[in-house]
Amino acid sequence: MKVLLQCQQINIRAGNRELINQLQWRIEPQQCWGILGPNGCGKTSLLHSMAGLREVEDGEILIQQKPINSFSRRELAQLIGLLFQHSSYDFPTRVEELVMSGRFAQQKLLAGITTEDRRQVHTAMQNFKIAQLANRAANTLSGGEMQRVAMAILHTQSPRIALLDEPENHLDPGIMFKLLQLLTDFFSTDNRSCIMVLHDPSVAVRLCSHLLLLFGDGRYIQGRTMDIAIPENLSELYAHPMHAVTIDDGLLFYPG
Amino acid sequence: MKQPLLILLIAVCIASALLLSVSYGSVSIPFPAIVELLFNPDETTWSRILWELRLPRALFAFIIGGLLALAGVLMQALLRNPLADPYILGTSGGAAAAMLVAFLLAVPAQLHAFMALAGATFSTLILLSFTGLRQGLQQQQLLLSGIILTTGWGALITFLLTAAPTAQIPGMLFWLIGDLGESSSLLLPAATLAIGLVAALLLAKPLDMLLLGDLQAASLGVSVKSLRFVMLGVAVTVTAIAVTAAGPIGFVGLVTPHLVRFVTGASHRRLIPASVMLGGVLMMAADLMSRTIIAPRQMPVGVFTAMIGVPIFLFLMKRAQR
Repeated sequence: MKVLLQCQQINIRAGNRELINQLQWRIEPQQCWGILGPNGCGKTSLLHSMAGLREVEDGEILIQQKPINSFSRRELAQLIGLLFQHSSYDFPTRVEELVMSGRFAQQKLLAGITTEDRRQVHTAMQNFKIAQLANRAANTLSGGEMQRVAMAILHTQSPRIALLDEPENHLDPGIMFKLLQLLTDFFSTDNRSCIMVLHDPSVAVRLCSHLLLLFGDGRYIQGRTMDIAIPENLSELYAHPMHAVTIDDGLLFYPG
Repeated sequence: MKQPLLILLIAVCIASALLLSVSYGSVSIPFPAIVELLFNPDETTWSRILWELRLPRALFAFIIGGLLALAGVLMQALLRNPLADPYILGTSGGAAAAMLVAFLLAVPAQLHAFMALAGATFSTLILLSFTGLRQGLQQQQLLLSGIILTTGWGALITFLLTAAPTAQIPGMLFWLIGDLGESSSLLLPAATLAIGLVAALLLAKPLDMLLLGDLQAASLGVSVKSLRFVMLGVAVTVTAIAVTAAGPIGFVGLVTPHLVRFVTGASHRRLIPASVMLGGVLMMAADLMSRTIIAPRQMPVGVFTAMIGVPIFLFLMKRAQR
């Protein structure tokens, strides 16, 4: 199977602390990875490094076998997209125009907006239930609305690899699964793949085919979700006893 | 607001500001006479006042206002902060101090623009050496550094004024508060405005995206570092030329884009041209006031931009807090 993204011997540090040590990681098309770990274990730093927004301390990140810094920002944006932990916007730009910014990497600098651009924006806004916000000023949105706008931007960007940093932020439980499912369905088909940082192992088990656990002291384990998501691993990960229950075929984890 | 309506509104604003500013002054010319003289210039005093004094002056005010508003829009996008402008960040101050040095050293007038540009660039480089062009720029740190720089330039300006020969002081003071009376050539400011406007419009799309934050813009494909570099270059040059021509005039760059955003939203494709136009209108209005309120004497126009700008700015701040 062709590898989309590859981390070779990556180290990530915060000051003197070694957060991630010698990470070897391959992401193949149609995989959906969940990253779990305690606060401050380097999850966000890892995502930012994979998006080319942060230099790694050691090692190399390859996208389709080529080093990440051999791509221009524009090329990179066509391959990798990132949903940030927090999105804020202090200016009164219309939501529809903001969603259009996802198309930037596909557009020529001076070209006008094409029918295809409009179609993509329309679809994304329908999917993420923000069509009614089209004419709202972006600085008046609530946290949850802004999160959905950010998701629509990512959907419009339509990269090969989607990196989601705590995508469940600000979303109420009624709509969270629906929206995350939309993202994972879209990004785990064809030649795409999806990587998300999550706090809740139950969400990870439900959405992800694979898991990467970061212990925050350099150690990590990775593999298929069914092999990794066991109470022993999670208890060690969070340094707190975690229990599992099965309800209606779903696996739920809760702290003891 | 729909585009044709917006263009109509701006055209009406420009036309009325222009008509008022060519009509009133130490000598008033009635509107019908202006319309008549615009199409049929003759050798009367009114005609000469209109064509040789008032129209060039109004045009000059418009161009300076446009330059300042353009610099304001760019700085605000650059800092992702609606309260930024070249006056606050020390860019104008650096240019002004360099200009005073030029006055004192009797540098030829043709070189003044280069002196101002050098001063503005130097000030900006100091600012950036503290805050950097890096991703994840600290907004508050940049704003605060700018304010400190402005204070520093203010001290240097006071020093230069105190050290200057007594005969030169009134002229320097007048220029420092912002003065449209000594209008020299229109060519350089006009050309700078045209080039700056085109450059800014070409960058309108990535500028919009910069408002999402450096990291988000970069992840969507914007080369943030080079965009910031180019944009700063344009903002600094535009500021320096405005300062050379009319002195450091405050608040137009700060207030204009705010007012325009209420109508056009924040999209730079509309914000940039509309701000340039409205900046021009506001400056014509301020110039009209500076020429008429204690006519036949004139006041520096900077007094009026501050007197109009400060209350508007405070009002906007209060609104933003709510």
